[in-house]
Amino acid sequence: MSAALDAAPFLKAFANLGLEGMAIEIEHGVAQDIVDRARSIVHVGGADDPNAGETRDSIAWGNDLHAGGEGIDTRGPYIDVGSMLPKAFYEEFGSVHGPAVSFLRTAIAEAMAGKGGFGVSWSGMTRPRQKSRAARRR
Amino acid sequence: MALTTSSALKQFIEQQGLSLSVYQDQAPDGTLLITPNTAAGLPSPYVTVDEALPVIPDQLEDGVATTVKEHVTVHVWMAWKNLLAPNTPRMEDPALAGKIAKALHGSRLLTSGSGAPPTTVYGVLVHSIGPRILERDENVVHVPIWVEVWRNL
Repeated sequence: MSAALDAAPFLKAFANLGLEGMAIEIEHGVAQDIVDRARSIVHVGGADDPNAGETRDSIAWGNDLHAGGEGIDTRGPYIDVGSMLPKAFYEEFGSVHGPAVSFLRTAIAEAMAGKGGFGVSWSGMTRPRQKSRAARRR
Repeated sequence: MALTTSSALKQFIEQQGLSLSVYQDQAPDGTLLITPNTAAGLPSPYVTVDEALPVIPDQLEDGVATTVKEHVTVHVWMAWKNLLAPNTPRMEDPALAGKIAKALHGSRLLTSGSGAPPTTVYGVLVHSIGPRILERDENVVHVPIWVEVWRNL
């Protein structure tokens, strides 16, 4: 599961001026803020849990998340933030077996506050981000 | 007046004529998605609401926070198929989440009487619908709708 953050209008303006590098640097800072906050919120598990902290440690951004997790496409600079663990999906959105602990959306919402807004698009387990990007480039 | 955002959302969604029950956090134990749970049963989807994922104050005005954006998840739960009926017909309504989102988007949750929101709501913004989550083993389709409620603190 990952959320792709598409740049806010002012970042797109940077990109249109040929300053993509600056726009991406700004996004890196936002992405790191999201990762730090999400790791502080997510359920970690107790001492008796052999997988304690697994989800927390899997939260990442950009190429640390998966190859091609950041770049520039037709909509401007983008960066992927999230976790590639299937169980993170159910922690974020909940299931019939347990309530949601919305670590990623909470972190995104807090990071977005006061920054003019980012576009957010989701990719889940059934529609990997890399495939959709590849499809769009064709 | 509703005491919480989720109860205001409950009142609002239940008045949309979609034959839905709305619960805060979790449906009561034993709530069925097909009633009765037989081959002749009818779909009985329901909605749960998680409120205050974060509540983010807007920029200060005159030194005090006056308005906030409250992030809420509206979860839509449906049966996927009727596994007791011949040929296991589909019970999911693929348009239901869209109907709920359409009702919410841009609304001010204005309901009469006890359903009025606890503070003035300036607007509801639907952030995203989905991803659609199929819990195949449980025969459940779950569609989360990410909603922002712009309201007074």
